[in-house]
Amino acid sequence: MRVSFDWLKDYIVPKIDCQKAQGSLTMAGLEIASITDIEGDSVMEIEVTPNRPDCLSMLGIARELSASSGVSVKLPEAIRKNFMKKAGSRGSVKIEIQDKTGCTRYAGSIMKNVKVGQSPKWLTQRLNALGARAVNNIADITNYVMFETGQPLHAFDLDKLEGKRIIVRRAKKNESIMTIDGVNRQLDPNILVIADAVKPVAIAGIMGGKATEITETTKNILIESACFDPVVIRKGCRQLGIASESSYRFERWVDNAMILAANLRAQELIKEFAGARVSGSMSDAGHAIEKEIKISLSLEEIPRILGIDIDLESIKDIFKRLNLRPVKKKNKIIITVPSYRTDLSRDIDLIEEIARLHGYNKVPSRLPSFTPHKTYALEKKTAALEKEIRKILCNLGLNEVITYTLTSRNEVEYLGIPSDNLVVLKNPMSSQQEIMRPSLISEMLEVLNWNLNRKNTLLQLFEINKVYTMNKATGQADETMRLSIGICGNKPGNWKEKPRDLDFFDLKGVVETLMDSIGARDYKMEKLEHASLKENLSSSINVDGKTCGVFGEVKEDVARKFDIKRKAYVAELCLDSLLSSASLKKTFTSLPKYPSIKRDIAILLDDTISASSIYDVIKDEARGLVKSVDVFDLYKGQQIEAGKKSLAYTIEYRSGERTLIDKEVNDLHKKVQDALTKRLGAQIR
Amino acid sequence: MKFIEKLKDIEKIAVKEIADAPNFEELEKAKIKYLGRKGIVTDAFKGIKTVSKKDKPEAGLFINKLKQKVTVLLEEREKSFRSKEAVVFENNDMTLPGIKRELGHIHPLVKTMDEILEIFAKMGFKAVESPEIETEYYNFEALNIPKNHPSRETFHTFYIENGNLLRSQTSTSQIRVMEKEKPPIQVIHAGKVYRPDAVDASHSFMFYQIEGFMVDKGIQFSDLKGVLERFAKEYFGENVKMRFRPHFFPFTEPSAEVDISCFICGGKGCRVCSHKGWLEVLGSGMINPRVFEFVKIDPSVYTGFAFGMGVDRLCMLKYGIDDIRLLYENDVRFLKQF
Repeated sequence: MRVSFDWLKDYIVPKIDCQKAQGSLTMAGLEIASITDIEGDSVMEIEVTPNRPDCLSMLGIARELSASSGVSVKLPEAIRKNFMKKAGSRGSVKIEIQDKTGCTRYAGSIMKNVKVGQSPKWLTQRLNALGARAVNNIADITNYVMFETGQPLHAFDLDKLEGKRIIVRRAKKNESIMTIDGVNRQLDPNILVIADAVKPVAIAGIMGGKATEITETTKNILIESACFDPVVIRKGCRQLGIASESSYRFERWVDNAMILAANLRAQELIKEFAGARVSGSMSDAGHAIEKEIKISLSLEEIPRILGIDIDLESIKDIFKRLNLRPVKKKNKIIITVPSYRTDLSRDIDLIEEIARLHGYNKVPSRLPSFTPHKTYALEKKTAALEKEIRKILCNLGLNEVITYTLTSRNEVEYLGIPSDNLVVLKNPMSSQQEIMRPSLISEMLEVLNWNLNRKNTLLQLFEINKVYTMNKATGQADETMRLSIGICGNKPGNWKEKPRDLDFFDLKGVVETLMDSIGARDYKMEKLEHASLKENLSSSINVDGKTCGVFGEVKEDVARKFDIKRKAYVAELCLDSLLSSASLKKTFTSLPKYPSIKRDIAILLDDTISASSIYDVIKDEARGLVKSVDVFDLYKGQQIEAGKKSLAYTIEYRSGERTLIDKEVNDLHKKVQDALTKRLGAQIR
Repeated sequence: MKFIEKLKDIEKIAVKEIADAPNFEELEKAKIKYLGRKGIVTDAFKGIKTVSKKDKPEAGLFINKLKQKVTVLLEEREKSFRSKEAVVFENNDMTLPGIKRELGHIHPLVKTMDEILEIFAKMGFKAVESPEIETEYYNFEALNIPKNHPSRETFHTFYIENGNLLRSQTSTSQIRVMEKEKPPIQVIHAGKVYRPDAVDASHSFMFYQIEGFMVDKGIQFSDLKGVLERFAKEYFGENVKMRFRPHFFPFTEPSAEVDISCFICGGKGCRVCSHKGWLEVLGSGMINPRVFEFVKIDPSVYTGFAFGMGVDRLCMLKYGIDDIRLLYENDVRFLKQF
């Protein structure tokens, strides 16, 4: 709420320096968001926390300033005398509260012979400083008193109230009202209204009606001061799409002990600035003033929670500054809480007040003794693996991305993911963020596209993040960690090397290196049919017969849906599956004692024969003596027969038990060659 | 010796032929020509029979050297074909740029989280998990946010179709952990939270938070201050000043917002700190006894503190990033800076 410092000074003695006041308020918990200088007046935007609706007024702020800086609060007479008082319910105005939950108390008074006109300049200025527009002296005074006391008021043109009576009730179906902003509003029984004998004349606590508003011709008025239920008001505001300074306060709770005082304060000002006289007596219907509550606080609780050493006199002084009226009883202090402090009901609330006014910065700091080693049921199991994967992939030159987990239904469909177990938002901001993503791939493709559009052409990316699916069995959403890898674009050349496009085997190499490095042994890559990956270039990654991930080239039509016009390669792996097959614990294996011997082999064979079957034959034939098989050349083309390919391998032979002799290796190599010829029809070149 | 002379001729021609091979195919041919089963070098081995007994060792040595030399030359040439094309001249201009290698980069948000978690780990806090898709109970009720609290309304929280919601704060982890564990508890949790805010330079509907809390006998507000001061010094630097301001959170009491002296201007006031000299960095407080009641921990025996911070904000402050959208766009020119 906005606070004019010039205005605030009316309520405090002795005068206080503006900067000092700001410091005190800030450190008491009233954060000052900004300060604007308006014609020499400092206007502060103060952030009032939801537990302190009593601070939504000049008096409320003055009370806090008094408590935190030691100055005293000086109340206007009408308020000082009438706070916490209630008038009789049968006065000059006939008031009937039909909805007693919506309205706990309603006071009305009548003033006659008002002279409606402009407000004095000082009043207009003060309202402007707080962001309110001046209308006429009557409306301005009701607003002024609201800002001053926190109690919203409303003035009706008495002569336009049918039957000169007030009924507080729910609106009927099909009733409507034109509010003072000139909008005709359809009402229903959710909306609490103030009605006269026939029709609604105001939307209770939110906005008055046009028909009964104060105009230049108004002679006699009815001043309303009442209390309305926060929830009813809030729902009404939402439903009708309006809010006002009045509803802002009612939504947050208004202290009904101010009802009579505020009404009388308004009378006082209207007498002075609109020449009117009070007619008859106040009608004050509804609940009696509630009794002030008492809270007891054990003295030993203070150091137990706060860790401060504070003496009894200081504690009492803090409570007195807050008007909390402390009484000591044995080892306890009993506090009487003023009506406006709804936030105080338990001893912890009082401890907070002590901390706040003693000063958080006076609480000593210490480091707690640490919890001895303990394991928690919810400890993050994949944490170490995630860290390791990040390290490996960054070492390989991949950049990590973090993307939004909300995606569109379209993108899920583009990937060919069935829509029957999606986690769908009920109130998305847009259809672009409607689904909790079931896969990391769509966002990876979006990131690739974003970068390609910005001429970033070397794209090697990964993300470790959650995906979400509805578990039909439990009816709850499952959240699982996945890893995605995206590769696209080209590797730039330099004066030594030519540029080249990144392809499937760059991705496969990353996946293989990753699997090797996290110690996932015996994984297999098998051909796979996948909704968004190209037929012959999509593979699963299997460990112990279970698929823990897929990778491949994105189908052209899928890529195009994401506006990607070049070849893109993606992988997606499940971290929980990786966790069960990885072994991050490193153990040393002795270095080979015996030398290895390398032999090259060049073969020509049918193009349809896969590299893996050649590998299998070599491994198979040489039993345990083959340590590695590397492909160093692959050729297809004019130099050789159509439908054939030429492959060249380096095979490394080694025994763990002895040095292999030349002849042995030659024989073995010959056996391998023969097997390739016999089993795969290869020609040895 | 005639045999060796012959070998020298072979060597001369072979060296030239390998060096002159214009492409891989021609090189392959040369390889077969010299080292193939019926190749010239292979053949020469058979010719050793014709050499006299005395000269045999020398001839044998020479022919082996020849084979080795041809093999090495072929390999080198092959390699040069495989990379690009023949390096036909030796580069001795050392001012040519070096061949740089590209490193990968960890996302700045993850870097920030890791760094923060590391600091708290040193103080004994253990990282735990907690779900993002939550029930109203965990996100509101057990955190002492009453039924009619404004933040429960749909425009402050995303709901999903089965009535659950996307958590709007990581404080849910307090309830999750305290339901399962008996004190002493000292844990930290990092994760995503969601709020229906339109995306702009400083708002995002998804962002990261870190929540930490500690529960035991004898935990006081002083401990909260000590732990957070240690954190601020480690994360922002030893010279950073810190202040605790009273604030309100339903799940802590007393509650405090924590500011650090602006490390950009040193507290004098600048654009980053809105000329206040202070930067708000986290929210904290003593765990509200009501929260303890929900998780059946006796507040008359145990006390605890909790704190929460926005990772995105701390990341942006630390690196001087002025637009939150950069964090989620993942432009590689951005990613490579960290």
